[in-house]
Amino acid sequence: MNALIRESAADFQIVFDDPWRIAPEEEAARQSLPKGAWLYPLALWQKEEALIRARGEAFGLWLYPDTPPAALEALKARLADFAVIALDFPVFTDGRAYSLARLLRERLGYAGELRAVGHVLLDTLLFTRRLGFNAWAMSERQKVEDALAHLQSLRQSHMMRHPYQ
Amino acid sequence: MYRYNPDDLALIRERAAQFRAQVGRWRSGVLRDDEFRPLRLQNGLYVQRHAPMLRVAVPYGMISSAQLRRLASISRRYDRGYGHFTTRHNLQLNWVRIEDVPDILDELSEVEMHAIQTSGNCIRNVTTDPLAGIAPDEALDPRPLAEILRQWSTLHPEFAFLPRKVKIAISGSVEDRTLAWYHDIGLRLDSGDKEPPTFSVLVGGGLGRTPLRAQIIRRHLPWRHILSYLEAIVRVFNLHGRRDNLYKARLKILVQRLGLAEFSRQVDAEWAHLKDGPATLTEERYQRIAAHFHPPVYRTLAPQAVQPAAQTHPDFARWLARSVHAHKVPGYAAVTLSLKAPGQAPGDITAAQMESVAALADAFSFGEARIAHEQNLVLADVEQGRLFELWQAAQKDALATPSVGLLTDMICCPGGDFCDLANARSTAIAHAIQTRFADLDTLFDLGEISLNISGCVNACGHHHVGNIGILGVDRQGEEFYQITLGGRQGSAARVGKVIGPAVPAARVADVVSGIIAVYRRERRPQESFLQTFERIGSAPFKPCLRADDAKQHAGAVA
Repeated sequence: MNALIRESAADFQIVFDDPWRIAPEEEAARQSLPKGAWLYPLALWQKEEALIRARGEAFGLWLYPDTPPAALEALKARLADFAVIALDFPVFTDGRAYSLARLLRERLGYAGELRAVGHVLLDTLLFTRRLGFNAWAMSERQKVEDALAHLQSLRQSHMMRHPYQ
Repeated sequence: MYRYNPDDLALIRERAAQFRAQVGRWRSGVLRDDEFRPLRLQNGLYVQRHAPMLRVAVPYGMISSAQLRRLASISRRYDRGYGHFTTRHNLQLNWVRIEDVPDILDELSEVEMHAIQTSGNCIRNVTTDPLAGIAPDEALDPRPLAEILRQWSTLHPEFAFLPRKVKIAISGSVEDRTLAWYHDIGLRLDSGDKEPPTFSVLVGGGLGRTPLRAQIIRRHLPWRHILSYLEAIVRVFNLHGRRDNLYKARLKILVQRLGLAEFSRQVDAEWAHLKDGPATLTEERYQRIAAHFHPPVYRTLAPQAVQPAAQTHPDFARWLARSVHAHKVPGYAAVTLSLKAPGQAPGDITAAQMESVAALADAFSFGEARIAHEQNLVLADVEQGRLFELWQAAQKDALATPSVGLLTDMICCPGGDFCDLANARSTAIAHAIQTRFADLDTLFDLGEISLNISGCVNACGHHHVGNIGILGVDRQGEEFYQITLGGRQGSAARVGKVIGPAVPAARVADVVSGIIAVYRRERRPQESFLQTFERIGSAPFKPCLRADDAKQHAGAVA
C-alpha cells in the first residue's frame, strides 16, 4: 500500500505508517478482528454499529461510489463520530464520489478527514482538493513525493478558482 | 466579446502546462494509455484514423479576428493548412502531432483560446445563437449567461468525470437557432418581456444512437437560479447515470428510464438544498460579464430596403437573398459567410480563408465573427450600405457561395476520411450531392431544404433533424446509407422518419435526385419541401430507394 498524503494545518505531509485499513466483509474474519484502525464499509456499519462502537476504538467509514446519498443523510447526526471517511475510486474516471464528497462537506457538515482511496492519480488532486478531500492514498504507481509537490503547487493555482466566482 | 482578465488567462496557461506534463508522463510510461486517454480527451485531443485530432473551443461561437489569424497560423505550422468547423462551435485540426499539442495549447492561450472540455465525459462547450445580440426576435442577449455557464463549467470539480458528456445550449430568441431541443440541457428564454427574465429548462434531448427530443422540466426559472438548477440536474445525473454501458450513459437515457416526473422530483429534491445558495447569480456579477457584450458603437443609419447594385448584379441579388439576415439596429445586417463552396467539404476552412474572414471582420464587422452550428461563419454587424463591397471581397476566398439554407448548404461530419467512429465517408456523399446540384437556378427553385449527413449513428452531422437526413451504416463491410425525411431544427425541431432500407453509397445522389423529383412533381405553389412532405407523407418518396427508380435519376443534373 502506498503512503498517504494528509493535509495538516499549514501544509501537506506524507504519512508512511497510516494505520487505517478496510474491515473485512466476511463475518468469520470479523469475529476475530484485532484491535486496530478499521474503515467499515457502509453496509457493515449499518448492520453492526453497536458492536463496532462497543470495541471502544476509533472507527472510520468506507464508501463505495454507488452509495445512495439518502444513506449518508440518514447518518448526518453521527457523521462526526467517524475519524475518517474514505471514498473509493475503483477507477479515477468514476466521478460519483465527487458528488458524495460535496454532500458530506457542504450539506452534511462533515469536518473530519475525507480520504480519496483507490485509483488516485496526480491528475485528480486538483478536483478532489477543491471538493474538500484532505487526505489521499495515492495509487500504487504514483510517486508520493510528486503528488505532494503537486498539491503544494495547487495552492497558488488559478485552476482552484471557485465555479461561482 | 468577452475578454479574459489576468486570472482567466493564468487559468488556461496553467491548464496548458498541466497538459504538457501529462503528455510527458504518458510518454515516459508513468501514465498508462487508459489513464492518459480521458485526460487528453478533456483537452480535446483524440487519436484518430490517420493522425491525432485536436478540437479547439470557440465558446458560444464568438471569435475575434486576432483569434482567426492565430488559428490560421497554427493550422499552417502544425497541421495541413486547414481546419473543420463542427456543429458545436469548435474548430477541429485533423493532422496534429501529439508532441506538438502542448505548444499549440500555449499558442492558443496567447489569444484567449483553449481546448478545455471539448471532449470527454464532462460539461462541453456551451453553444448559443449565431445571431445573439442582434436578432430582431431576441428578447435577451444570451451571451452573458453563456459566458457565466462557461466559467461555471470550466474545471467544475464535481462534474469532471460524469457518466457521459453533457451538452448545453442557451437561446434568448423566439425562434430557436441553437437546436436546444436536442441538447442534454437546453435553456430557452420564456416569451413575453418578463422582468426579471425567466427560462424554460429542457432536459434529456440528444441525437446519436437514440434520438430523443428534450422535455420541459421547468418553466419560468428566474435567471438567477440557472447555475443552482443546472447543478441539481447534473448532480442527479452524476450519481445515477449509468456507467456500465457507454451507449446507455447519456442524460437522456436516465430521464427516459426514470420518466420525467421522477427525474424532476429528484432534481427538485437536490435543488431545494442548492437554491438561493452560493451558486445564485447576482446582478453585480451579471452586469460585470454583460459589460463585455455591450453593443458596438453603431452609426446612425437609415435602413436600406433596396440594394441598387442588385439590379445590375443578379449574382449579388442571389447572395443577398440567402446570406443576409435582419438586424435589430436600423441600417445594419448580419451576413453568413458560407463554408459550402463546391468542392469544399462542409465546414472545412483553409488558413487563407481564416485570414480572409479575419480581414472581413476587421473591415466590416468590428473585428468579430461567429460560428453557426450549420458550419458557416457569420459577420453580425455589417452596414447595409457596404453589403455589395463585402460580397465582392468575400468572393475572392470562396466565402460568398449563395446557397445558405438551400439544399447544398449541407451539415456534414468529417466522416470516415478522418474519424475513427465513422462507418462511411460522409464528405464523399456531400461532394456527390454538391456536384449533382451545382445549378443555382435549380437550387433557388427548390427553396429552403436542409440536408444533413452523418457518417455513423453518433450523428455529428445531425442527420435526424435534416429535412433530408443521410446516415452512413456498415453492411458487411460496405458503406450503405439510410435516408430519413421530415426532420427539422428550430423551435418545432423534431427527428425525421426513415423511409426504407439503406442504399449503397453509389446510389445516394440518385436517391436524392429522385426525392427532389417527387417534391417538384407534388408541390403546390409556394410550398416548401417540408410542407409538401407534411401534406403527402413519406409513401410517395419510398420508391426513390429502389434501384430501378434511382437508375432513372442516375447522373441526372437536376
